[in-house]
Amino acid sequence: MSRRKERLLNVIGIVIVLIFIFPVFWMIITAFKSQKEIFQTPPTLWPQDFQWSSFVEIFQNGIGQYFLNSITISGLTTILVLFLAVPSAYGLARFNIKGKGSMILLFLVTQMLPATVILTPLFIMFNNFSLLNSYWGPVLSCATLGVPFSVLILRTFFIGIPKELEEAARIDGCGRLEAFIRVIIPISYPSIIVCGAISFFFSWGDLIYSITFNRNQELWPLTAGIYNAVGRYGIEWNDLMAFATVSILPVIVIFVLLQKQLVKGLVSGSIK
Amino acid sequence: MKKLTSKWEGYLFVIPAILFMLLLIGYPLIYNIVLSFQDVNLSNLANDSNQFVGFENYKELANEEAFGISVKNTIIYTVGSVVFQIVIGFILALFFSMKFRLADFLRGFIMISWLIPLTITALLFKFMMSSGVGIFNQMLLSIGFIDDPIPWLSDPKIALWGIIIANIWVGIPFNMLLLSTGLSSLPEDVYESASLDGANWFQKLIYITLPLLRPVILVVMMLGFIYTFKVFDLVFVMTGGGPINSTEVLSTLAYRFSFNEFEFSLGAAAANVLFLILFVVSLIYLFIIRKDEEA
Amino acid sequence: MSKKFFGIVVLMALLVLAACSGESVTDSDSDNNASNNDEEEVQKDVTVWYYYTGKQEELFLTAIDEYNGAQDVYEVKAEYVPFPDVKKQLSVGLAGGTLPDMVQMDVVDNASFAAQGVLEDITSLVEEWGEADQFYEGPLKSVTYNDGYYGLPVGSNALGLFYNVDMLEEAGVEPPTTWDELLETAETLTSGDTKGFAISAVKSEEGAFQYYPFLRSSGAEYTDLDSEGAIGSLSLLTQLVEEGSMGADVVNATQDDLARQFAQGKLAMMVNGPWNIERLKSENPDLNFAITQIPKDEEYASVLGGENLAIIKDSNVSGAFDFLTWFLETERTEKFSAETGVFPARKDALENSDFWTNDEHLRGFVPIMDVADPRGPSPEWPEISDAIQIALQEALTGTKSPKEALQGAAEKVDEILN
Repeated sequence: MSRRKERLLNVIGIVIVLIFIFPVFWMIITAFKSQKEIFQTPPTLWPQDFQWSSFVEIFQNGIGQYFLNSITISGLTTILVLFLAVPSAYGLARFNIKGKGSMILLFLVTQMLPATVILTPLFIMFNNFSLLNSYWGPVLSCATLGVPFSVLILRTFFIGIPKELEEAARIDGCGRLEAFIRVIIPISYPSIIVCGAISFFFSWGDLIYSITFNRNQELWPLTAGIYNAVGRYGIEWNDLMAFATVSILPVIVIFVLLQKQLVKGLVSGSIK
Repeated sequence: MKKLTSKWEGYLFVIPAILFMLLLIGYPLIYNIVLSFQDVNLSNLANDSNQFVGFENYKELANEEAFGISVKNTIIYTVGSVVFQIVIGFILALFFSMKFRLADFLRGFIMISWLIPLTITALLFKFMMSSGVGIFNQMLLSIGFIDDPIPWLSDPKIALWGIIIANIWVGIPFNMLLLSTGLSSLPEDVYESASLDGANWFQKLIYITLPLLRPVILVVMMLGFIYTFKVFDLVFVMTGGGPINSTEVLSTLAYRFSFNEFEFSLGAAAANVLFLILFVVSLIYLFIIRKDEEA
Repeated sequence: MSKKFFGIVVLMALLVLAACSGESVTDSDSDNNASNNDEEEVQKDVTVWYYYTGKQEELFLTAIDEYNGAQDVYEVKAEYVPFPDVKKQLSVGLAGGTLPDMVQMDVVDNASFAAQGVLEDITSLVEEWGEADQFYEGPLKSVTYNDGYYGLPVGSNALGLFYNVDMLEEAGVEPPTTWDELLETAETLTSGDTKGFAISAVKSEEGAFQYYPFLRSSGAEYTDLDSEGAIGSLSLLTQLVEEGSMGADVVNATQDDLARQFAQGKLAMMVNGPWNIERLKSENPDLNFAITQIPKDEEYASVLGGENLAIIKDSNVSGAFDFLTWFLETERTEKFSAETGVFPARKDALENSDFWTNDEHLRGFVPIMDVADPRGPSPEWPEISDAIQIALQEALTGTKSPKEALQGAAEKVDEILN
């Protein structure tokens, strides 16, 4: 690639990103503005009076516990999803099992009901199994989004992996399961990470399951904290945006770290 | 196709996830179907013995003015969102697949829009789209693109598109990420030989990239369709279904019936219509991938 | 083959269903037995769902601690449910068999919950208590269904006209008292991106709530939405939008949105409630505002809001009622209301104290409370409200004329009520 083209692409890339993340910029900038400045016309692109008070305010309201809960719920969901979905996707991709079509249909079908209509039946069920007021309510419900999603995505990628690889491993004396763990999983690492990340963020954004299944506020995630704050302060824009900023910053950090690994995985792992 | 091993091993891999989904979603699914053929409100919600009323709820639903509107809105919303998400997501995926220095770093930034909880995104866009102080109008006015502020969310003719814009923004990263992963797994030698044959960039895109990416595009489209079709938070927070019924979608309608008017059976019926439409779309998807895999 | 498999799938799901519902039957049976046994002793725990936030929450929880410390018979446990989720949580809880003993609810929802048999009829207990006549009529009406009491009001509010004193003085105008004056004043006060007047016409209960004072001022009721008066009230609001004195985006503005704009001087007058007074003061300490009656057509009118505490049917009724009457003792409710800047539902609490008549802002609401009507009360209110919201939005967005919009709403209401 010529240097000129390289430079041009970088510039275009930066411009695209700047336009695209403008709403995020606006969110963060608003968090630092005073209430008065937010309503100023024309709006200011940078706070004239840069203030931290919104952040101070929300930290005093115990954002820490919410944050830990979000991590726990999302983390458990991700583990559960990958544990169930990876083998399942592999099975559907590699074996010519009977009823494969129906099973794929089942995975599609199971994510079709909006969360609001499965609340009541899930509540009844969790109540019967004494799962209310624990992390399990939101974890299990969020996993119902992540599992079918990951199965469908991973299946498509597993199909693309040449069978010869596993056959070679089996000739070396590996069992079916061993071949799967030692050969397939390392190769599909990037796709698995992508699915894990997506499942993580599915549950990171969950609000409705947590506030319905858990009366105990000590189990509520960040989103519920925000929802609460909206009611509590009648949404001061700057406080709300500060809350939003704090709730996404750590995720962005995780993501940027992951992005590197993901790209590395993509480059080294892709099989020609 | 060469079979690798006996079939029962395959089931062992598949069954745990199937069981999990059946346990957690099978019950709600059937619960809703049963509910939609009964007449359940708050007074008999806790009873087990409710009368079967046949298709009464579905008839009542069909007579509701808001129902037809919400079906139409849901379809416009879904198609509008998915088309733009895929096209823009694909363009971005292609762009960032060119190996320039900042590509990976910048691609990471695009993901941000998807990491923000939907409730926040909804509030943020409502804020930016308000006609008075909203930054969207202020910017468009200042560059002279429009003369009068656009009533993004308060004009019944525009409001749905206001929400679609917000949703496109949310969904682009998802599409871009999956398509990027798909692109990176395409075999390079095909491109090399095409280059030798003198194919230009556009020809390579049309004759190599798109056909090879077909399965990924199909699955992305399908998932995007499902996730968009049952949209709730965005609409609920941004407009609550208004103005009038101009942004009412099936999921908000089902919610309103169930938890505002306590017509649980009517709400279940609306949800089942949503389900049925998605079910048909899924069958079509299955049909396509079966043909693909046989070919 | 695949058909067969799907059959199996459905069958399995049915088994799950059977297993779950079977379990729930036995569960609730054993629960009932347990509670029957307990009743000989007196159930101790009283669970209450509340949606108070901020200062109100703090004082409510303090009151509960005080109650629990003051006696040994009952133990009240409070659980927070966000306001927008109360109805959903009650529905879900009812289906799952996990309801609290007492629940805080918006005045407008009380009748429909009573009609659906979720709440306990506490008429005999209230009569025995003998203090019902100390409550204001409006709030008391909101807990009444079929001549029985299904809860007690714990706090009241109403809507009034908030105006920016400085802006009105600068323009040399007085706060409007009639609809004609409102049109004129709102126009005078509108300049640039500052609007003269606003109500919240959002598509939710808030929209119906805000429109109600105008409807009632014309002498119309929700049962005659196609009357001259009703059409006049909606025409007034439509005209305000057409003349630009009220922004077209009021169809998306919640009451909180209005308060925010008002605090920043983007609105000269708005319709809002007393719960936003503290907020305006904290958001903009320099704001010079006052509150008066909403301009009238035939007569001054307002709409009643507020919250009740209702007792769930077949729950720990005696415990819940004991706490309820304790919480509503004149002095306690006076203190609670005054410290949180809301209105008590008891006359004697208001009359005992000069807090409300002296407070710079709240005193504006004192005469308004006298003319505030509850919405409905009707068990079908949610559907009626939906019809009103749609008519309001149709007219304000210019989709239909006020007359057509209200005729449509009137037809829907007729259908709902018959």
